[in-house]
Amino acid sequence: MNRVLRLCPAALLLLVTTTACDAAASTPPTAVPTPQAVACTRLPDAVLPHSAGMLTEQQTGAYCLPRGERVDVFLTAAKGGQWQPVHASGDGVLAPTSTGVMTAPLGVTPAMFIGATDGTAVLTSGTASGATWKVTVVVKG
Amino acid sequence: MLRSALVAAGATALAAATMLAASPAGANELAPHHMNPHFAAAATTGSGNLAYKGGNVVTSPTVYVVYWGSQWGSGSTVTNDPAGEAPLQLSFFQHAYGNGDTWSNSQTQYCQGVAVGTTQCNGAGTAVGHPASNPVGGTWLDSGVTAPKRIGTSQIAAEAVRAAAHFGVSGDNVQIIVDVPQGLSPSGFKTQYCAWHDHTTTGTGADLPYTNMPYVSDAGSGCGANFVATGGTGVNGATEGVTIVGGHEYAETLTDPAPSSGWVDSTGYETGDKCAWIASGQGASSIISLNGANFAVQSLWSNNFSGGAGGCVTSYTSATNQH
Repeated sequence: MNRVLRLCPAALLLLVTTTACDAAASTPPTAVPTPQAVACTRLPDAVLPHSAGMLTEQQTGAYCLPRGERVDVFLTAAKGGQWQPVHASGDGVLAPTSTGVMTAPLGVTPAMFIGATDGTAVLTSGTASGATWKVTVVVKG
Repeated sequence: MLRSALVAAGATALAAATMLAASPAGANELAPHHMNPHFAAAATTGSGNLAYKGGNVVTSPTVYVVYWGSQWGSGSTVTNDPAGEAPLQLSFFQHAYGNGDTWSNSQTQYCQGVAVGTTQCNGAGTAVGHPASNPVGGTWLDSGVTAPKRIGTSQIAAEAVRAAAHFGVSGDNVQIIVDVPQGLSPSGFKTQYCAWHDHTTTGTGADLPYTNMPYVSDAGSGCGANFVATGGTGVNGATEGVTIVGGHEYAETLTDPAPSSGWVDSTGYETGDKCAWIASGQGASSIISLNGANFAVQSLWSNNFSGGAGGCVTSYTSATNQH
């Protein structure tokens, strides 16, 4: 058992299928973390009104968003490029909302999301040249 | 950017692992999603036509401009305006009226007082107003204060309220434009936005739409400098952003003065967002004439363009005469 507990985090980091862990975790239920267990850091300061903070293409990792508040995303592409519209996974944890208050600079792809329910969502985007961006947002009331 | 992408890709494994660990059984956080490799930056954005959300529109537009801070000049005279933005902006709004303005006229198709979800007013409700004459209600050099070097959102709102008190106005038919002096960059200007509009409340609790208008030419091409070929129009390419961005925010305030309770599409885009930075084809930004004076503008979204399919237009005389 001790060996299994040591191996599971490593397996996760290597993106190995969770099957092996699931089998081991069935014995101690606490081995499967709940969404509340995801460590997250404070969002960078907001630049627009009514926002809890912002993310750019420079951010990676996991960020905390209080439930009911808004996170703004600004992805700036290299000259002549453009990030695709930002996609949020997470079954409604994040609800897209209006970016309409501003004129974005040329080459900037904006997106705004409200933390709708407690949980974890992943924001992603990419460029035609193959660059990708991904950030985890942890919504908590 | 490439380096950022590589860093992001490297971090993706950890983030993905975090998600795997965090996801309940059966969750699909890492499911692949479609990414269009042929995304066109110069196309319309957002999704579908604008729809009414139940709030106010501007039925009788009046624009007030405050030059925020002694950095603009002393007394009541603007003296520090190296790019000439203040007179250009003022002239733009002073010419946006009547039959000589077929640019902002497209927004008169939107209205208030109709069912939420309406996309075609067809004469129902109360329409967005189109000024019959110069819509500028006043300008004010607020040289009694110094605009702070670090400008946050609440400070801009406070200056708008201060200006509204000076002019003695409030309500959704008022647009207060807060002009930030040259050389100062409100947080996020140039990198995250060129300008934005919002609303606040006055001391009496009345609604007050306002616009944060930085010194746009400080941002160069990122905020519209030389975006449109000027030819022999007399337009100065270096300051095109003043009217392209300023016009974007003006039109959005007309149709959505208290964001997002007016007219927005299903993704939250307003009329200007859907048509921003179109370089060619239908709805391309261009030089237009407003009552005989030329200005660079972007197009605005028209729900009744193309038989109701919607599209970006720079000229609108009627539903059947627009382009």
